[in-house]
Amino acid sequence: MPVPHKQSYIRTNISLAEKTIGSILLLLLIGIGVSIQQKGRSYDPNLFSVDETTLESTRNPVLNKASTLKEENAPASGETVTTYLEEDYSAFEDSYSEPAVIDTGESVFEKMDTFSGFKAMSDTEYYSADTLYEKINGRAPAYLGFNFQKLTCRTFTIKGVPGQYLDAFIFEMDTPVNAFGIFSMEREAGAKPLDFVNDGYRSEMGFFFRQGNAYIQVIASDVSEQVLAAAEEFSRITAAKIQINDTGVEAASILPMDQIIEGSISYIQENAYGLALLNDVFEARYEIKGLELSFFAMKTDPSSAQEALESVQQFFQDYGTVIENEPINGCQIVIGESFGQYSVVYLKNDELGGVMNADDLPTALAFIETFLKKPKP
Amino acid sequence: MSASNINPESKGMTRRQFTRKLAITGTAVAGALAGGIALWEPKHFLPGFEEKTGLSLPNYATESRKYLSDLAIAKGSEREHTIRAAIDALGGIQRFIKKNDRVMIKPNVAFDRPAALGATTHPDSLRALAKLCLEAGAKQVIIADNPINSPVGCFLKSGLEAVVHELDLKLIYPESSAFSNIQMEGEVLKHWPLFHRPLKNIDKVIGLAPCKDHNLCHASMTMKNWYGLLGGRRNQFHQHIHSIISDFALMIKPTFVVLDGFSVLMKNGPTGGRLSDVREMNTIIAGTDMVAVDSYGFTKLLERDIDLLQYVHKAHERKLGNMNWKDLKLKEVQA
Amino acid sequence: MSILRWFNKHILADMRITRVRVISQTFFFVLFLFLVFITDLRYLKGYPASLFLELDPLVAFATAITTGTIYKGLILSLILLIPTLLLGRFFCNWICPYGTLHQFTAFLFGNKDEQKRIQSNRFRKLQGLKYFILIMLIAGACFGSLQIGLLDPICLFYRSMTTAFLPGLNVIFPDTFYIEQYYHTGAWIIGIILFFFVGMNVIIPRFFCRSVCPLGAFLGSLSYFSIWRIERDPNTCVDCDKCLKSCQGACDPHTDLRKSECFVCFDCIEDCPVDALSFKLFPNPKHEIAHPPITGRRVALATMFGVAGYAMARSTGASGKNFKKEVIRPPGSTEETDFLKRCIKCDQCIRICPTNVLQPSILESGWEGIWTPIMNMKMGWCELNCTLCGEVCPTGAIQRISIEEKTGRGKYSDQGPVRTGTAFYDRGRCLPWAMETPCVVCEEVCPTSPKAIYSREVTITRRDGEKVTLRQPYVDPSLCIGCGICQHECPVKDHAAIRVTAIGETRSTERSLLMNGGNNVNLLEIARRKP
Repeated sequence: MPVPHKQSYIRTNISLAEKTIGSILLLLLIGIGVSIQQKGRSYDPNLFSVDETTLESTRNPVLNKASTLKEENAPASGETVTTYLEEDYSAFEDSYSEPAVIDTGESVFEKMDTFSGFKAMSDTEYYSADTLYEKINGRAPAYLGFNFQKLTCRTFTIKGVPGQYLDAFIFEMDTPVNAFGIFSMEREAGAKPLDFVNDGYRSEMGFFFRQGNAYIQVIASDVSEQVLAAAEEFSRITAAKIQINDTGVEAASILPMDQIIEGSISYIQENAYGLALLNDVFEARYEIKGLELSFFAMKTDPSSAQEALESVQQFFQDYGTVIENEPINGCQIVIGESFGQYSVVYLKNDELGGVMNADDLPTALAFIETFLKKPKP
Repeated sequence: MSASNINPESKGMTRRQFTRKLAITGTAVAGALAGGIALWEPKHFLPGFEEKTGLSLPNYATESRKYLSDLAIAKGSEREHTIRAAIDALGGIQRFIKKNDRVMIKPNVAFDRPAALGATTHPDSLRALAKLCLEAGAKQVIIADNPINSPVGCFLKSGLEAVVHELDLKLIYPESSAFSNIQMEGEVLKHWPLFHRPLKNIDKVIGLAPCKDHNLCHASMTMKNWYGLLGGRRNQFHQHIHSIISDFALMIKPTFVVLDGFSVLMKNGPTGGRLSDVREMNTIIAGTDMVAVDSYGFTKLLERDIDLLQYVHKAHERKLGNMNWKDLKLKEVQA
Repeated sequence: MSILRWFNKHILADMRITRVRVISQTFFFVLFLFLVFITDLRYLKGYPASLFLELDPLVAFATAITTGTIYKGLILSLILLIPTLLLGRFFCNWICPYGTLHQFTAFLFGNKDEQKRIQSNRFRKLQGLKYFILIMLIAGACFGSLQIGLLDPICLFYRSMTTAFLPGLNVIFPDTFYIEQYYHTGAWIIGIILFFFVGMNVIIPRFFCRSVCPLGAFLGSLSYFSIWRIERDPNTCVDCDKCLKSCQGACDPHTDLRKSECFVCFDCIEDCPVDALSFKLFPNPKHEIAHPPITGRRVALATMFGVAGYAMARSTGASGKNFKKEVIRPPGSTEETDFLKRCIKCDQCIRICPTNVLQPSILESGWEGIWTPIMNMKMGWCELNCTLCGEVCPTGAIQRISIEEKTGRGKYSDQGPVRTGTAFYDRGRCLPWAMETPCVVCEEVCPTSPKAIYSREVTITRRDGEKVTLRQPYVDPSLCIGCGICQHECPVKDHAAIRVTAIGETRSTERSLLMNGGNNVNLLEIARRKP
């Protein structure tokens, strides 16, 4: 029997109500379709991509999360591996006494990990002349004035002193003289000089010194003796790793530190005080009993120094008066007067220095006497 | 048909039926034999050791010009102007792109990062470069990369997809069928799946890479950028990373490359993730020799010792480029 | 005017309600497929991907039982609930895409013989089964185990599309739905269930809708209150039973109507040769069986089964002490027992996931967690700046967190990122650790800053005497977020040398690894934080 496929009966009495409801439903479907379409178009793009304003919170670096660590017991990659025992200082001493030619602060810090009890706690940070502001803010212009090249800084933990750390800064200038310039400008008056570098001192919080064309600050997180001792150790190692280069700054260490006016040290390349033979001169100002004094020093070979002294004497003969004086402590002394101001200049082998243009002769003379009689450290 | 189950017909088949049946059955037998023999493979093969073949890429570089520089360093305050200045310093975009050229720009969109984090090509750079190509009369500009993160998210979050829509460029996602094998004689790279679809019928290829730190190979710049043209098991590359990257210089000779040194990713590369990892250096390097460009970027932007960057040395030794960027005809401009 | 006349002649004149119904079914079926299709980062934009799930009153009802709240868009279910209270189970034959699928299959492959069709559309006692199932599921839900998703038609259909159908289609037509082919563990089981229910239509039309569907049972129970229903005028009726020919619900329109079974399809009205049937407001209450076809004793049995089932599943400890390391929930997931209260196994998250990392769990998270999403890092990884799974989750099992919250940036930088687990090295399989071979792909792809994976450079002498410098990687658990890209990118593909396990997830204090989530490992850092 054939199966009826078609509907056998078709309803025809479709009421108006049915048609109306049907139409409403169809309109409803269209409405749903359109509203979904509309909803699809409007959306917040931050649902799918990062709202860039939230990135601001990532502007500060996270410290103490180094990316690649060097093997604690091995020198730089590719070299022969020798194992150093923790207390084996012979290797330590070796590297200590033989300053490597260091061109960047980075390598100074890298090797720090290798031989000593200091471990990097943060990544090394670098700042160029353009970015130095980020690190030291308002102090930056002074550094830039001395031809600042690069700052390398890093934080180190101290073995055996949990919770304490050292902040090390290596400011690299273009020349040792400029490094000295910024070093001396920031120098703390009356601080204790260091024995392992020519220009350096220990302050309450740490060690500040110049080596080569770098000005180094090692700042301790705590004033305890233990931490400061570590800072000193760190400073010694750092100093030993940077090649000594005192080109142009030999004379600077001569300047006495007593009663010095902070930040008054300056370097005069040539024609100091209008005198053609006074070149590469370091000058500082001092306050003595309410009076201000300018003291200068230069270093050259003995004959040039002698010539320079004679030129000073000649100057005063031509433009003022020369007052004779006994040598002090075996040093030749020239005292001159010009326009009511007094200058006291001494000569000691290759070293020439003195007080220039002081208002009061006895004070100037006393200053020189004290200076020359004081034993050198 | 009878309704009964037993067929009362007692006679056998007729002669005609017999021949017919014989012919049909005979054909079936012959067909089975022929088919079997035709498909028979008597020899075995050694799986995994078959002889490999693949395509090689044409040279997309344009001729070197006697009086035009090959390396341009532009500094400026804003990407678009600086890129224009850099390309102008090379002799203008017309030197490279001719009318009706089909151009492929390869950005580095490896991660799903916003552009500010410096891990991906910046949309402003892409916009600048694509605009230049279109202005020079390029028929089509194709953008493609095979990212490490998911492709859609990478293009979306880096902001490059928006540029594609804005300038009506063509974005090609690394779909499975978009890969063909490349065959080359690299130091390590020999036979490998290449993201080939975007390179089909292409006249010029431009690499546009951000300047990034890289955890393993020290830096990801214009050479490392071509990593994104490969597919397959790329995670094996790291075992010979420097050789592989120098092989890229053999694999593809782009028309020119641009190194975006505006937001340099100084650390935590190649992914980045914090603004503190990024340093603004406002520099664009463009050049025809990617080895030189990378060498410049590594020493001057990332400020590192070029001795570390073995792949540049390898490429230099293999004469795939010149790492002594100072020897190139070079021009520095301020945008 | 001519348009109106044309409209009246061709459209309005034959605007029978069944035709409108077919249009509606087609519309919602296409809409469902459309929403499945756009559940993809490329197309999602602002589309309400979970619209059907949010309209599903059973989802809202069951999650309201388990959690005591109605999460975000689930409030839309009132749009369906209210009309059901008035009109009956109209959803089943007007909206439900799964019902449409079954109706269409039965239409195509079912019996064409009128008498056989009439027989197949008579009420069966088997139809009480769905009430039994519903009661079991609700009983379990009362204790906090949400299992309606196993059989809820929207969840089931969505899951089938996500895990079996679309990936299967993409196998045959590559690059249609996915840029890279998606794979799902146990997809075949879900596929077979789909085949089974679809195939059953040949034997019993709409077998699933009539006998299995818990949503149908729920709506059927609500139909008790409806004030409209199909009414037969016994005086006009000639008892030809032709109303059964196309009856979808098998609700006996030829006699006293079983209200709970009627799908309000109107086919009976269409088929009645004597117009004895009508859809009537406040019909004669004597002509109906309002109660669902299940006895009180069966209800009690179903309740016992539900409670016992819950107790047995929970006592395996899979969501407690005995949790599996593989149960790595997507970011923003609620704590595991709360997760089981919310997850309806619709697997929308699995569909939207841009990396294919989300997989339907089989038994990893216990019997209760079957088909709930877990991350399988072999398949993908959790994309850092992505919260799509939470975006589409209709019940808040994966909370709708923002990228800012997930990554712990901006306002959330003090609390840190959401962690889904922690990565661990298997040094015996790691190339630099065990095989003197440089690698550290893991470190390269680690998305956090600073990277959670760091390495130590070592120089070793290989057996050939050559010195090689390589990096041996480590995990910093205070930074690891458990995204698993390290595991996914590890060249030791089959069983990676770095693997993420669930420990350390931030959603649960029971499963944390480091005190305070590792945020205090470096108090110094906090002390030194710039002002």
